[in-house]
Amino acid sequence: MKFLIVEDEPNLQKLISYFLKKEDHLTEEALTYKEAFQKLMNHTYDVIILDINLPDGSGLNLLPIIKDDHPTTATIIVSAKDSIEDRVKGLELGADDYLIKPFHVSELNARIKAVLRRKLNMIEDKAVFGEFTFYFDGRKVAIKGVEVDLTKKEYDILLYLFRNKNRVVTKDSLAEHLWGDHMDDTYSYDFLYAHLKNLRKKLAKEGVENYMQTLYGVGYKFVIPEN
Amino acid sequence: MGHRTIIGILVVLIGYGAIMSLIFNEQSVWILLFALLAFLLIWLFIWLETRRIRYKLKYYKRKIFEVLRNIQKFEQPKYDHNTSKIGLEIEDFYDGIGRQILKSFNIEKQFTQNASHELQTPITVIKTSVESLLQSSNLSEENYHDIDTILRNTNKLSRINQALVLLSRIKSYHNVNVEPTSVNDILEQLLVDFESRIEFLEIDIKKDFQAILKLNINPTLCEILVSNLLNNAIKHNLKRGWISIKVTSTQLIISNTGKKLNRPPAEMFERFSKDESNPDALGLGLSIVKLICDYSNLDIGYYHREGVHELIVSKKI
Repeated sequence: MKFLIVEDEPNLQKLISYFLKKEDHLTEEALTYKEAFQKLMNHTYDVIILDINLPDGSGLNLLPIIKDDHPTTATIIVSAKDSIEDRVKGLELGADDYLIKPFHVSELNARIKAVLRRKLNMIEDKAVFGEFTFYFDGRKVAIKGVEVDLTKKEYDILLYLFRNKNRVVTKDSLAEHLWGDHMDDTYSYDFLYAHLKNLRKKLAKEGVENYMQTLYGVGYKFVIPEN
Repeated sequence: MGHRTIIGILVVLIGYGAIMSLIFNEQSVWILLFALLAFLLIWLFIWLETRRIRYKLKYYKRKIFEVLRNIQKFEQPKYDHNTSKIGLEIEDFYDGIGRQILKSFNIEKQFTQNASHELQTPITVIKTSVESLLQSSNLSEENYHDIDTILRNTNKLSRINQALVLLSRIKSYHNVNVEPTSVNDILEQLLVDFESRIEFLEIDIKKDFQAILKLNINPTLCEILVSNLLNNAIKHNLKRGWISIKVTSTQLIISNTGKKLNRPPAEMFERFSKDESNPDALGLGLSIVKLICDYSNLDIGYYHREGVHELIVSKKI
């Protein structure tokens, strides 16, 4: 997969591309509007990660160009501007998703995967991971071939962990993914723990609880156990 | 005595003098006549000039008010520097005020924008770096605890920033898009949003909507107000406690069971005032509520008796 990262903050840009390279993607970077424009004229990309506030122009102006010249390219806007108008405008102009700074890499990762699935006709209706089978369209999970009864939140947790498989997902990022803005402080972690406890109980019943590792209260990791 | 009366008397005098001098052809009367005419011209000049200045004053007063109104709406003030120099001190004065207001406005606007944008980017960089660090395979238990501390505090930093920006924006947004807003509708929507948390804590919701409470307020601010109150009632509640929501045509009363307060109730609405038992709380929720009430013509009061906390928002009469 080939990515274009349009971001004027060099540190953030490096971190995003470092993360994507570790996931075996190719990345190119543009620090300014002009640079991004030139790259878009000469190359094609699978995914563009686009910051709106660029020193020499608004990233929103690149969207019509992407829509017209690169119809198969997926675009994810990343911006600190949390105004609703900007979000609506971005999506109207053809962006596929919108992420507000500060975000978690795990969230970006999950969004990229979801967008790719929608946009690039990579519609696998299911995915197998060890003894787990995910059925995306029906939002169901089967363990060892038997469908498990999960609540909506439990499915969301498991899917988020799966999209970030073999990586540590922080509890903070998990909470934000599930509840967005309403999750405003640590009181609400109790709530996350309750869902996780129920989910783990269900996994234990099927004998697959060791897929979900807990890392000293910092986060969780979804892996295929070694033995 | 008005200008018109004086001018009238002068004209009559000059007219009378002219007739007299025509009849008697007396030189002294002619001199008197000229003196009167000169006096009349000077008077006329002063009168016109005063009127012009008075109009100018009114014009600039209107302009300054316009600039102030724009500022309250958080719009760029349309203040154009006056180019037609007549040399009136008052014009310079108004120009000075206009420029000063424009300068202050831009400084504050810049600060709010910088605070939200320029701070969020480094916060994202910290979060992203730490998450990337977390992926290393050779971390000790101690490392994990340190990372947890960094993440928790970065998260707090980000929330403080957002809350402070919101506090500074309430001042500017309170009189924009003001419309009759139904508190009942907002409550119903929020109860759906909070449903799973309420169920999880097994909190009993007692709804007593006696009338529809309509406030003249910006709907977004109204939602922040009600959502903060409801959020507080949930998070400071006890397991299996209750929340009672009473709405009348003039009041919203939210009361809930909860732990005893270990600080004076008077401090409740102050910024960064918070319960010592929860170091991660920001202590900004109620100061946001208070500020919205202050700007929206609402009174807010807190009462506590026998393990029940009560917050009352009422329309000012």
